[in-house]
Amino acid sequence: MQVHRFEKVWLGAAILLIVGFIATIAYGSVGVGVGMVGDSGGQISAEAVQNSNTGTQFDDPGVVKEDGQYVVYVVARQFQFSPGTGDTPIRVPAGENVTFRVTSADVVHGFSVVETNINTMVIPGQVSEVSARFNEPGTYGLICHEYCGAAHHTMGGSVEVVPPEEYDMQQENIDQSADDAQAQEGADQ
Amino acid sequence: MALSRRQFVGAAAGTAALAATGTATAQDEPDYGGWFDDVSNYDGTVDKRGQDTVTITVGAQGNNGAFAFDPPAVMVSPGTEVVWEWNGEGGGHNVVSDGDGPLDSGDPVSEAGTTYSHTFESEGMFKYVCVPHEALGMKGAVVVRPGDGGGSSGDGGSGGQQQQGPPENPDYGGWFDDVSNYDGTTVDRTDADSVEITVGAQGNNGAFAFDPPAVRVTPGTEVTWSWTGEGGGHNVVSDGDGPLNSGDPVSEAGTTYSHTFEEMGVYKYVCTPHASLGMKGAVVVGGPLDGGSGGSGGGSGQEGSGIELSGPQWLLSGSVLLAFFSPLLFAAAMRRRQTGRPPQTGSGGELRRATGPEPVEEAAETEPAVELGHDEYDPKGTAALVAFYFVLIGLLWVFMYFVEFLGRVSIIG
Repeated sequence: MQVHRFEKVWLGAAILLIVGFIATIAYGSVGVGVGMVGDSGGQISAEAVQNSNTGTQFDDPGVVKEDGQYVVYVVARQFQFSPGTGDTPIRVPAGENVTFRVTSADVVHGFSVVETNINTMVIPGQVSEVSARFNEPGTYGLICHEYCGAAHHTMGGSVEVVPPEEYDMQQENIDQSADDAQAQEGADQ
Repeated sequence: MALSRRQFVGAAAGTAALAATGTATAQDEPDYGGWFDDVSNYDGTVDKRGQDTVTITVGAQGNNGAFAFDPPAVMVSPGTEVVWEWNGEGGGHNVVSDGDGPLDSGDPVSEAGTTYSHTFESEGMFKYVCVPHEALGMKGAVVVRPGDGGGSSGDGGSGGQQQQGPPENPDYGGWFDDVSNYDGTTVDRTDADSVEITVGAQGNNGAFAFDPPAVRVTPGTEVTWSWTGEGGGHNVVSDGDGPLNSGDPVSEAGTTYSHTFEEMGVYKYVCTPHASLGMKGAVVVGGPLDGGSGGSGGGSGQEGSGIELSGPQWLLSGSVLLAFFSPLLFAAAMRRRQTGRPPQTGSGGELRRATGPEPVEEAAETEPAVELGHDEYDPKGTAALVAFYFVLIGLLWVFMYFVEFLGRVSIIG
């Protein structure tokens, strides 16, 4: 069978393209470390979240430092994120790994930080755990992208990424609350 | 038709009435500026002045769920302590001032029995919301105003009410209970200069009815009663004291009696001999501010005043209708063409039974003018096209993955 040399060229190019696609995906997950949302967050009682008696940081959601890592506890409920909605944006430092631990007090919500790939379902009884690093300071939108009820369209908030040196100034109360929590844990033990 | 004198009078009266009610409202009811437009359980301000403590329920039924404050609007004296009390329904609620304000109960809580209180010392209007459910209409307001309560509300409004004319669905007080041809609607003829009512129309088990029995007109309209000549002698006489009196009953067809109504009000009348049969009617003079747009619109359809369209709207609806019926028009045109064609005669001129579609004679295959061999294609042109596609895919690939995906903040674990 005679194959024109041009045809041979673009057959080769097509194979190269496919190999390239696979290579980029491999690079994305291995090299850059793009991850998927798993079940690492564990389970929690939605009723306890609703009544703020989970015995976890979800009773007083916000940013805490656990083992030198910033962890943001967010409770989603009809129809707001706390923190996140209104005049309590989620404030995180730039250039640091930040873990979001999000759970719902009532129905299924979504947790999507606009213009990023941070995007997960928030299921009652389940903690959705995602980590990310914001390199640039700025303000990102936060929206619920799972229909959750009549005022779903109003459910949103913002994530403020501040430069790390500015963040350290607010560090005190965060560290303090973390210390308090640790102290309390110590006292409990 | 230009704006007639009566329509103008009616409109002016309506405007005056609106202005009158507006002032009356300003005196009694605070102006919330549309704050309660989407609050389903708002029904005026509850005056609780003179009480030391006022309780507002959080999570009351309203706004399609347990998303309401009850009462939503409350008026208190300065120095009153207002207590918000959660009933535990509708999820987590809070009480936060709209904009800058003194109220902030913190994060939403849902436990029944939770309370939050604030003592209002200064006069003013304090609007507040439940932050998670604001969009559903969970809003409230506390108006702090000195005074003693004492139900003075509603006095100022009545003057305006009288000027406004009878309400949209006047209460006839059982007047039409035994009138068989009254279907519950007052025929709206506020658009007409003169209104005709048939005397001796079919109804009440015979020709013992006025048609229409209930009609609404604007002040200054001449109403003419016109006899059909059926059902014996009829007359038109006001019920009780009233302006209508056509005299003794007459039966001749073509008899008319007319009266021009200048004053707003509800004018009930009867045919004296047949009143007990249900031959009764009413003329409503003056209308609600919004004219005939309400429940009485059904009756006005017969006069063609039901739909009002502007020029572009006519054009649009016409085009839509035309588009809708175009297949029918097309089918009609096709049919016309077919019937216009001379009848095709069969082989023997006799009727043939159709046995299916007639075989279509296919066009003869023509020989190709030029036949191209495999190697005679222009490979360079094809190659250029394929190369262009490769470049395009490559660019999109780089843009999508490296710029759009990896360029953003990603989940890293």
